[in-house]
Amino acid sequence: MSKFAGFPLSAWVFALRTWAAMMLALYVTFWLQLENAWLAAVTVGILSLQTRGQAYQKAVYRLLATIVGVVVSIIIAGLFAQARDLFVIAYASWLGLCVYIAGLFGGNRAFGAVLAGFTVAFVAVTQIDSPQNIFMTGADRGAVIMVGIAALALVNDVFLAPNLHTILSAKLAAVHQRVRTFALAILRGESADPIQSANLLREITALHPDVSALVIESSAGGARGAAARTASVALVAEVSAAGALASLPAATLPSLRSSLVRALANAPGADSRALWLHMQQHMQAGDADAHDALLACHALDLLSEDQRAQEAIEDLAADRRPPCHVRTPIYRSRREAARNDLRAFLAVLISAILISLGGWPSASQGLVLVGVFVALSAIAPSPRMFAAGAVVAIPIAALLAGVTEFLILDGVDQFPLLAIGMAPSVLAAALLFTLPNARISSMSFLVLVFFSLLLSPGNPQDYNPESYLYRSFLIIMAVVLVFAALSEILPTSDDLRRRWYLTSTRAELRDLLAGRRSRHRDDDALFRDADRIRQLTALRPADGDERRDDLRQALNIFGLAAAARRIQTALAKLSGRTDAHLLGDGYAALADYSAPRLREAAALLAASAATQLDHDSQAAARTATADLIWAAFLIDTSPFDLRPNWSASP
Amino acid sequence: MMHSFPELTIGGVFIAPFVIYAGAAVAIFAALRPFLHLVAFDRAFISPPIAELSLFVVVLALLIVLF
Repeated sequence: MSKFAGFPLSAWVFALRTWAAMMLALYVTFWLQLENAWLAAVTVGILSLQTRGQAYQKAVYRLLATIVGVVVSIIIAGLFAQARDLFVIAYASWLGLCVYIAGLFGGNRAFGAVLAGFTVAFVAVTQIDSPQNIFMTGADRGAVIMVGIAALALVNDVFLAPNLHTILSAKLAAVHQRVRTFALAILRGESADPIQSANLLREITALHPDVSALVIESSAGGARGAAARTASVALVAEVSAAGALASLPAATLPSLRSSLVRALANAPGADSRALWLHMQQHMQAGDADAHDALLACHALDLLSEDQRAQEAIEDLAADRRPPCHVRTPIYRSRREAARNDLRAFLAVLISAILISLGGWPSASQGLVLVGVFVALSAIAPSPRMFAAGAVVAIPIAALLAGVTEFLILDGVDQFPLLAIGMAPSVLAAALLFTLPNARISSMSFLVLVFFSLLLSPGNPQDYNPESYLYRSFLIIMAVVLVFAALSEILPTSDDLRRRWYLTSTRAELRDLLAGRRSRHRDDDALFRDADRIRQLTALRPADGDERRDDLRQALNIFGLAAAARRIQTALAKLSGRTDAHLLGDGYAALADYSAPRLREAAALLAASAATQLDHDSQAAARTATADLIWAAFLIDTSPFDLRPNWSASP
Repeated sequence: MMHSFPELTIGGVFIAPFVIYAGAAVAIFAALRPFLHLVAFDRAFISPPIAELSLFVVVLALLIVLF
């Protein structure tokens, strides 16, 4: 790809689009003589994402969150206008609640939740001395945000911003290819590290925010979103099947393995029909070696999921809706969300006390900014790292705003000169935002947004050095306060997160084995488990755990939970068609977590299937039998004690 | 004859006519989306985003002219 000044042309086009949208938004707000014109530029900075779908989704959440925030501002001001302390407590509680809700979602939904929280700061806290102006402030804010959204949407459409679905389609195809390569390596008998499975699951589930943004991008978004979700679920199931094959001895059924390698390498299709029949025969053979039957069972899964993923990726390209509906829920730790909630509440409360002790004029502005940073940090992968980045980025934004206002513009009042004066800072921040380095990208986002806020373009611009210095001082003080608060108040270490994730994994397995199934369908539950593994992979390894036993343990439970769900689904299908005590034995063996009982239940079910069941029921019985044996195999071979009581040692 | 624009009043607060038109256009456009997908609207144009934007503007303009 051709580059200019070290950045690809696509990054330059993105930066120019951002600048053009920002200037258009400012021009329109000046023309309409709206108050707080700077907010239009800030809105463009916040919503400036590289594809149309992502930007539109974020815009919708920004608008909805602003409406919710304004309504809550009116309620809080109405209830506590005469009691400052209760007013601040109510604001801190609302922000904490929004942070908690954000902790239960991901992507732009989480952003929308925290935005609803700090909108109250901008609307109600800034008007703490004049609550009668809250409605007008909220209405004005809504109007300016609408102008910012409309400007960005127009510029994105007219200047042909990239479509999310084409980029996502290519990403899914690339991940599919890597999953196939992983499966082929396992089938060829090469040693497969389970961590590779975890990394592939991370790659697949990390696409979830993009998949959820597809719906809004165009009229075909619904069908494309459904296809992308199906492809994601199929890829997770394919990795699960490949991981299961890796657990079996490499010498099992070499002829079948080489046939599978050929089928996968050439992309399975109609010509693999003979191979499917061959594998089904292996599964049916009552006297077959257990490993042979297991290999055939998982190979069949691997092929069918590979084909499902391939078809879903083709559906995505052709705007077709796949036949079955999947939801792809994500995993979120409620404990983590609750801790973030409490931290946000305390950070705002303590900052409010400190700021009020300072006795500065317009101190409420400082409290507003504390709320903004606390809320934004809650949706960052690491709140403390975000705050550390903000401590660097905000002074840079303040410096750029000062240089632009007093050295470059220096008293001019023509709009074209304002546009030219803002260009270097906006273009540089937008260019750096496109870099793959997450830390630089996050800091550039802050510079892009807070540069516009600190410059505060107005019509007319006041060019008041005193107000600029005071704004800069307040924002730098707020970010330092937030950094200190996040370091000291209820910090969440990776070890604590790891313990929460593994505890929840075990608790859900315990419920599953006991017959208490989650509300999710099997495919969706599998995807949710994979998302939890993604979050585990993002944590720093524990001291002395270079092998990543935490991931290995989670992957073991991932496989066992998948088998338990399939057993329960197959047994539920057989309900009423075979002896109830056979099904009861299967459920009881699962609940007992007993490998011998699982094998016994499998043998009884297989014997019963051969004599009593019709053709359809026999297929369900075969699945249940194979998975009962598979669950027993996993229990026997796992180096971890997967019993639901807590134990992390191999 | 002058075309008068309807003004919505909620709890004594006047809502600008353009906001009502824009909201109605968004709702109509959202309702049209399944139909647009059915007729493969996306595939009929070189630049579907501009085509969809133009359609939105047409709906908005029609609402302003007709109501």
